[in-house]
Amino acid sequence: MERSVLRGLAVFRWLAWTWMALVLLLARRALERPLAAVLLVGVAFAVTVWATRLLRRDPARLCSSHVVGVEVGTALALQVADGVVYRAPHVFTGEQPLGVAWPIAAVLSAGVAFGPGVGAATGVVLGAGRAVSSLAAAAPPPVEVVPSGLEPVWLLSLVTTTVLYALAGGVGGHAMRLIRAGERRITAAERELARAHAREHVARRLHDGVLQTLALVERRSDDPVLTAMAREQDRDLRRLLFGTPVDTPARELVEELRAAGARVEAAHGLRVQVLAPDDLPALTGPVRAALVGAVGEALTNAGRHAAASTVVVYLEPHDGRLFCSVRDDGAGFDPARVVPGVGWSRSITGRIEEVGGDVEVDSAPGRGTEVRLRVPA
Amino acid sequence: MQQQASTVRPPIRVVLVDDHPVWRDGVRADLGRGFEVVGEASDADSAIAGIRELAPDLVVCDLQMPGGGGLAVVRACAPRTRIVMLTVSEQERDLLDAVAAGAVGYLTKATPAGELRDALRRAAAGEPVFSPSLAMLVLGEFRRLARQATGADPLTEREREVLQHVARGYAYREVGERLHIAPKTVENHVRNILAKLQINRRQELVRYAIEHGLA
Repeated sequence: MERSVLRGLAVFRWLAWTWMALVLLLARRALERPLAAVLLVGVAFAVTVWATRLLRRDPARLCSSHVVGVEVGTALALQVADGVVYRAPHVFTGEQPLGVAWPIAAVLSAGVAFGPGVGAATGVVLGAGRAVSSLAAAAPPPVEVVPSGLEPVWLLSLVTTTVLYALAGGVGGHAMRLIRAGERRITAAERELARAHAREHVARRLHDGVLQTLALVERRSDDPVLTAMAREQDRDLRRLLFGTPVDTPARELVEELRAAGARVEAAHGLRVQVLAPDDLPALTGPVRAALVGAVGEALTNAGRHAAASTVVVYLEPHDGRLFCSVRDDGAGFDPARVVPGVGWSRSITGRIEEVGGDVEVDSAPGRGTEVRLRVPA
Repeated sequence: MQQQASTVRPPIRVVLVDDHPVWRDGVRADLGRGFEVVGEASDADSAIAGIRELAPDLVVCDLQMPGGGGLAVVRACAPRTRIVMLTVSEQERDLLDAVAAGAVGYLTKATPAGELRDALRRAAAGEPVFSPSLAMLVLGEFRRLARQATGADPLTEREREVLQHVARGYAYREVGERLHIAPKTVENHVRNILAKLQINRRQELVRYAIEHGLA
């Protein structure tokens, strides 16, 4: 992209130079110093050729201070000399100035290489050069050519040129800055995409092979140790493949709950499923610790006392709070016959109420147990 | 009990679709009596052809397969054929597409044999098989839709309650008891939820197509 901009600039340089040469040819009779004019056009030609060659061999150097300096210098020489090569004072007589187009290339170069500020400043300098040249050529202005009434127009013309140069430099620099930023973003995105592709490729392979095998072992093995191992490997690999790389506090909570689930799975041989949406609210440290502790207790109860085979831990944002349910398919119990505050209920209720949450227990003999927790988020 | 069922009713005719032969062997062994595996396929194209020819009662299909995969099978054969997706990963968004495309449900490959048989029997009878994790995924999807859309929440309060109970691990029967409604009503709610999911997925596809100049 940057390359195309530099190429466009090279084309512009040639067009500007051709225009300059054409003016020289057509206005040769109006010239005061034809030799100086030819010399200047020749220098501009040399710079144009040089810049074009650089574009082919070493485009990065086109934006170096050396090259831009030479270009701007030549442009300034053209501006200053403009008044000298013509039979003075040409600005008022409406002659076509020699070097008005080519310097724009230098202004654009400065803008492209060093940003809109430098571009605009270069424009101002070159415009001022033109003004100085015109003033020098005009002084003393022949009265019959410059009636005093024309002066504002003349000044306006010089100011306009300066403003246009500065605008060209500023806009050119700004556009280039945008192009570069866009290019950077595209490169970053492409790199990210390549990385994601590689990751997905690995994930797909492992997904189709290893995860399937692990799941098969999990289901078909009669050996509880082997089953537990397969499940553990399955979980680790899954986290590696599908786990969110971004560590949000909510994700950490889910990971902690999964770890607690894995411990209970290993100890009591049941299945624990932790289900959490992506939009969980973040909890403060103490609330999170209380929740993880309480869920751990509930899971242990399910494994130790209820002889459950499956437990679902379910999380959901709810009215600015976090709702969590731990539901097992175990033996259940009669809540009416359990004395409040004794045993498990203290270890769960105590923790949760301490951080401003509340606990509900739902159970019946033979119907499993659900512990519902609500904590402030 | 199971034997009784198999002697009274003809076995459920099943087509297994999975690119891993070992897996198909495993599932076939797990199904046991009550099911008859009438066909197997290892890719979407042959699966679609086989299903059209055999017209099975139920298709058990892997979601991830080389060359299109389970989604293609669902798009081609559902809802005329009842299809249960069997997947390794529960958090895949493809799953929502498969369910929206008309799969009657999905199960993870880690589901124990007994549960698998039970779920497939229910699926063959036309009951949507919703696991807790699928309910969770669907809930999340509707919450996302509700956040994006300016209009009303696409789910009714009741439907949301049903979904939440399924996600918390309750079977339809239990959900019915807890909400004081008949299990059939629970099933109808689930069906309505699925229909809404389909409509929303389709609308989203259309919106995507318009936004990207494809329509």
